[in-house]
Amino acid sequence: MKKLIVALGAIWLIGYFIIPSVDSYIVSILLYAGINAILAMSLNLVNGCTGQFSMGHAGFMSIGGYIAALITLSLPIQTGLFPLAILTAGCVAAFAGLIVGLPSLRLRGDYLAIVTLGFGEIIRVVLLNINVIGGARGLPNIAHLSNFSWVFGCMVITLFSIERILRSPYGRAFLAVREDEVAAEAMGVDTTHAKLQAFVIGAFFAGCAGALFAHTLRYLNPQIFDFNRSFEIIIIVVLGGMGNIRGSIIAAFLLTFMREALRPLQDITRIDFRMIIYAIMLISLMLLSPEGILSSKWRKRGRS
Amino acid sequence: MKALEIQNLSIAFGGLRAVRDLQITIPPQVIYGLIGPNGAGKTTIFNMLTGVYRPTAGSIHVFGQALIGKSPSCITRKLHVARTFQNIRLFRELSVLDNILVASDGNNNILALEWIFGSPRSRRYAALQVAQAKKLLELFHLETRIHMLAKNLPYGDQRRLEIARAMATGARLLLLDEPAAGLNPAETETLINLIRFLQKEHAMTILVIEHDMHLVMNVCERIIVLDYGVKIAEGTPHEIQKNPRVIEAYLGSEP
Repeated sequence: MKKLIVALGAIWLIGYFIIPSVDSYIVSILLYAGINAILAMSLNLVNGCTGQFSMGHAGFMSIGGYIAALITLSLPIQTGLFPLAILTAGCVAAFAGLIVGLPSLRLRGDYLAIVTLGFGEIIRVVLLNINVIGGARGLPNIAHLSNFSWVFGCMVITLFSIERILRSPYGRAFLAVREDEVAAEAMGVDTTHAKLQAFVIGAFFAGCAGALFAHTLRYLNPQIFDFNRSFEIIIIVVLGGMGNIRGSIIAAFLLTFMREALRPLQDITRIDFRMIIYAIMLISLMLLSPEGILSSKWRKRGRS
Repeated sequence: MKALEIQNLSIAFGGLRAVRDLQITIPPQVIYGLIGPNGAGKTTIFNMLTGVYRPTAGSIHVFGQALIGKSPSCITRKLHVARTFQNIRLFRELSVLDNILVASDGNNNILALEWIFGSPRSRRYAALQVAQAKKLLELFHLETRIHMLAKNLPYGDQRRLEIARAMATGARLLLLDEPAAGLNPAETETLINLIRFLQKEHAMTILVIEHDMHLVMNVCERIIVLDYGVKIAEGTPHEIQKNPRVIEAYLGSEP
């Protein structure tokens, strides 16, 4: 744990001094990678650790994004406002997670996936039809409050929080539900409650990531949060390894940079190669290394 | 007060009446055996006792408290009933220690935020939990395997870990579903001593389903025999061995 703190501190210091001199295009990719890492870690808590296949993570992200954007747009801008906006966005998204989770977490497997997928679409369509927040035109002119330090800080906080939770009775209950729901219930774990907790915590961090995203892109449009967005997060989780929180970070950076690297190919051929490559990656990963790109080395959850 | 009191218990799955008008009374701190041919309804009774199935009629009281209608987790936490499974159901990808901790976590009201920030209260609780878990694992001779994944344990150890996990819930009534299945004679002998030890030193009331007659006859003070969902006999091992109805249920009658 100490080594990790030192390493993260060093990365932040290097980043802090180097970022101003780096091409802003590269910096923005870095920021999106960090935001994707937060999304993937929070989804991993639900999909990988608790074993509940949720497909509507972009929905929680969009709620967080719009809430945070509305807060910073409507209140006079001060720097202290941004953390407040992030936290509020997280809390509102968590509340949405609670509302969605209550009825749907009694379902299992495929059914839960379909319900959460539907929920993500509902959120998107609702946002599309609210005129106050721009509807299909989107929400422009969001303040440029996000930067390297914010994204990096939030990513580190998410990592520590989720790893800590996983080593607490809460996290053990999540893992027990994933391993064997019947046995978990028989050993006194309220499985519905545990699933709901994982879902709400996951939604909270997704909301925070949405807030960061809104203030990085500075423009929101419901179409950004479509099914492809949720699917991308799922791919990152699978790529990094189900239940492997640190793997999610590495996979997030890998995939975000790869997406940008593929852009020229897409421009030349005029085909959306991204989804084809994603599909090929998923298939080959399932065949070659079902535990994710990092497999067993990182899987140990840092227990002494 | 009786440890377990079952009255007129019946359950039907559609037209199949799996258990009919069952009466069982078990005083505290004894070992009871529940035997019967395959399909007699033994595991169904366990499933009703742990809240997995809801009986169609009858009542169940554990240490005076009504059980029917409560959720399985509530029964384990509040009524202190814990079980093992016929086919081992450990948390396979978790360590031996974590398997125990899941069961012993219980009703702590420490907030998730406290765990994130590592509050003194959460640290004390975690240290205490681990210490208790280690003590429990020593009883079951699993202390050297604490950090192994449950799925990597030898079969006999997995069986013992399941009992340890059930104990860790703070159970007072322990339901063992075929604990000796798949064990060799030496392991069964260890298991017999273990079950006796739990009853004597930990004041446990134990109800055990088992097909291994050596274990049943050696460990149980009284035996209940079930056939086609009906109790056909109850008595000491000696009485059961001679009971003509039991012999008929197991071996069939002469034409």
